[in-house]
Amino acid sequence: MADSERHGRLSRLVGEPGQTGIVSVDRVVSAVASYGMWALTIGIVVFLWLPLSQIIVLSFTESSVLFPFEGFTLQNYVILFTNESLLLAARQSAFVATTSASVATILGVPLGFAIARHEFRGRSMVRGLVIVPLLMPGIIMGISLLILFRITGFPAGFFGTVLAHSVYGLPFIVLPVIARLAVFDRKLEEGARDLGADGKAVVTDITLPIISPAIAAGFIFAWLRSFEDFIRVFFVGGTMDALTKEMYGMVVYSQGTEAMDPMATLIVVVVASALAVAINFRDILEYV
Amino acid sequence: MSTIQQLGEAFERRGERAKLALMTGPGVSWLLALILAPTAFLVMVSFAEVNSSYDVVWSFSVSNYRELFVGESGLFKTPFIDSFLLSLGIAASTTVATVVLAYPVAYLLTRLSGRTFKLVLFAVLVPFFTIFIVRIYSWLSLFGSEGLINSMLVATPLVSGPVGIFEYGLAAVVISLTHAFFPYMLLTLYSSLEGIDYGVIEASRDLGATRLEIAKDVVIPLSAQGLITGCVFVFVPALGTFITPQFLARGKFTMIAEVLTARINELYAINYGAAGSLFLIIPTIIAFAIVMRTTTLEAMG
Repeated sequence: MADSERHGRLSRLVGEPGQTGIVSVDRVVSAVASYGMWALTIGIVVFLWLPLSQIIVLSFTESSVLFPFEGFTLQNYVILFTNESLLLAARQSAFVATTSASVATILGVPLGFAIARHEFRGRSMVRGLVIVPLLMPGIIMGISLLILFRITGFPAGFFGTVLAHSVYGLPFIVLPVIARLAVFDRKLEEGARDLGADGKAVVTDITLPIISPAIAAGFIFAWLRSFEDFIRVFFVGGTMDALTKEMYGMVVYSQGTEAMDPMATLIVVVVASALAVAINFRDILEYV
Repeated sequence: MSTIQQLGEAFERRGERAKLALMTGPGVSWLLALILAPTAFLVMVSFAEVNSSYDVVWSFSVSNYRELFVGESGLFKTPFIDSFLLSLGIAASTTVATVVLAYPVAYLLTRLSGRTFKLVLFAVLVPFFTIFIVRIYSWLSLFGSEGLINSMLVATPLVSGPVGIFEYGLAAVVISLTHAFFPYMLLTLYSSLEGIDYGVIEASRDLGATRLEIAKDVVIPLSAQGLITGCVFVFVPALGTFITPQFLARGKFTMIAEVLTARINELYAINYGAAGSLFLIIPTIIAFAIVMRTTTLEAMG
């Protein structure tokens, strides 16, 4: 907060000399707006956390509902860790996500460089095409890839899902790379070149280290989007299992539902701790 | 200029072009093969037929479209139209709700710094990174006639039985979608609000503008771009959501993605599915046009 703002708030609180007793409408609106904004924010944090915290509690309770309360237990976690097919599905999803995000990174980083740094024919078309996977509803991507695989005879399953998720993840790599290169100080590269670095050395020692946080953030996003996807893997995954498919089945067909709350709790805990580290580590908002 | 020099430059140009082809080729062919080609097939299959062994028979008929729009009881009286209109309504309500909730929080975030900023950010971002299916699932035991909200209400003397709005249904779907997509709106709004020079706001205050005037004439116009992008990124996925109504509508109504999925899964009617999903592409194309007109790629990272 700027000092002037603090000063402004203070003087508004004290009031101008000779003006005591006169409460301006604006000052009231200011106060209401300021407190209102805090109240709303706290309300929203409660709204965001209420369902999640309730699940964390439920993961330790005997019954699947909070009332009537029947006591605490770790039984749900035992059920989770003995549910072989669920654990296998989680590992499978992580493997698909890692492969897809890696493919997206390998394809996306050079593409981002080319768009940001080079003039070429069709550049604006490519720029447009890159954001399509981001805007295309998952159900359309799923159905259209199902049709493509069906017509070309490409087998649905692991490879089909990796193809789908790698193109889905492409914008998460390309866009941050373009954004990062747009604010990149080219003088750093020129300086290195003047000091005798060759093209390769400039890229590996100057350019890549500066844009690598953007690539890393993009990788994490592409990974998460793949990991949490249901509808694409539902259409192109064939008989391959995935965590989201298992979870969907557990809820819709009410099978082995006890494992759902502990699984969700583990995900929240992992995400929360990773994020806590990331927030303290850097300005993560640059990358989202 | 000597011939050798010319030759050298030609080689360099060719080398440059080869390098560029190597950089863009794989990524672009991925996009062409996995986005553009499937969309083209989608259009073609929507006019085709599927035979009894579930193979696509290429033809040109509009019967799939007729099936979408003409029902047994008349034109536009089909499950598809009902679900499509309902999905549009649900997506629109979700978008409005996220705008109303996210604007003040995004503005507050731009005024915070240090520890408080990190704390608020952490509190709003954790739900964002927990996977979508978990976010939707987390509302499951809150709603319903035996859900937490209703059982708490029934325990009070205020109501005699479960309250309808907290049963599974429309409210449950819109509330959980708002919960799931709120962070998208918050982040896009925050990044556009953060770009506003605070000096402009101070100047308008010094010139006598009231808070409301500042909000109306300065803050909202300057953040319009982020607002539009945020709306697109909430509306489009909300329109096509499948898991949310499956979990929280419990058969009370079906959204568009459920209609298409059911047809494809149960009848293998990919031609019907293709025709239907083209109507989901229309809002996507509008969204794409809006985003391309209002946002630069550099600002989307």
